[in-house]
Amino acid sequence: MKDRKFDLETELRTGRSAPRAEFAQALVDEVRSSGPARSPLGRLGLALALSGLIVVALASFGGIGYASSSASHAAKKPAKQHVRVVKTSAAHAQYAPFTPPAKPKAPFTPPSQPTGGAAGTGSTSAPFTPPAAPQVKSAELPFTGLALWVPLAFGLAIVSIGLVLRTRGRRRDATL
Amino acid sequence: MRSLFASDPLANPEPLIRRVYAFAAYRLGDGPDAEDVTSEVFERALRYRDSYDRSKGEPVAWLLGIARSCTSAALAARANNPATVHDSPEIGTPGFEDDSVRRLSLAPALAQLAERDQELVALRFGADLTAAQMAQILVSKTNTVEVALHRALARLRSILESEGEHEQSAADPRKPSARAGSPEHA
Repeated sequence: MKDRKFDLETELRTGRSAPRAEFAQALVDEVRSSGPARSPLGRLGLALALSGLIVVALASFGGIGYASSSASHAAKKPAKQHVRVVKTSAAHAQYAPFTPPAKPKAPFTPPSQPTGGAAGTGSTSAPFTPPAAPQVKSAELPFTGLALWVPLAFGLAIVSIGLVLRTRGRRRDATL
Repeated sequence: MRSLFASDPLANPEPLIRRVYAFAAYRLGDGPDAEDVTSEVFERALRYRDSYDRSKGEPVAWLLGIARSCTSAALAARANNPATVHDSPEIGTPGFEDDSVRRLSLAPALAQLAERDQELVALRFGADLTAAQMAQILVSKTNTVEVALHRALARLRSILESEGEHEQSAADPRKPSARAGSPEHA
């Protein structure tokens, strides 16, 4: 029985069919003529090379310096605009020296409604309350005033779409 | 990260073609059908060559996964349209010579096995896969595959033995129950 088992397995193994030589050669030629597979590493290299090329092109025309100065300007401009300390003004000359309010979070009093009398009447005036500087929201982009979450959401959406497409592509390959 | 360094799965196509063809021939019979399936497998492999991931298996396992799908489609088409079934590819087809009477008796015996058993035999003895590789393709455990293959071979052996008895009884009507020697080598 042992010999019979060995014979059957050997017969099955040695009795396997082989393709015709012409057919096999034609298929080999077709596979070889299609060229080697593109490696994912090659794609990464191509992406890096293109990025490097863009950086070099920008650097050679001064683009990096221009971008850097623009960025620093964009960062400084809001500070110049909104952190303004008015030391001399008509109001400062006419009214009593500015004394900061006791409560820093006091409700805003519009400057157009002074509690004292008209100028030159000699009456005592209430402490000057400077106009509130417009609040700079840290979640806004400079110049455009676009909310920061908009480009962030856009970027996340693009990354999510890419991941979904990649996953679907892999599933399709797996179900070949 | 390993997939970044994946090598070309079709860098050495000759042995892969032989193994895929042998698998297809075990399932469909030696001849044009097996050649069609082999061509289709490599056509698909070329199309999806870039998506091959070595971490998921060897190139032969990847190709045989494709071959299983193509073979199932070919068998379904054959079942739907029996008129297109090629008549006995071993006979009269140039280049497909049969070496022995024994091999001729194996094909009908294999055809009597269940689909699952035929596939196991084709993967093991046609594509020359190990039990672990078969388990990977069939999404099963290695032990399960080994046991299933053992049972399939036992069934094949019993079919061959019963056929041998029939042939002997036909040759010598006076001894209907004679079982001399190995029935496989009848």
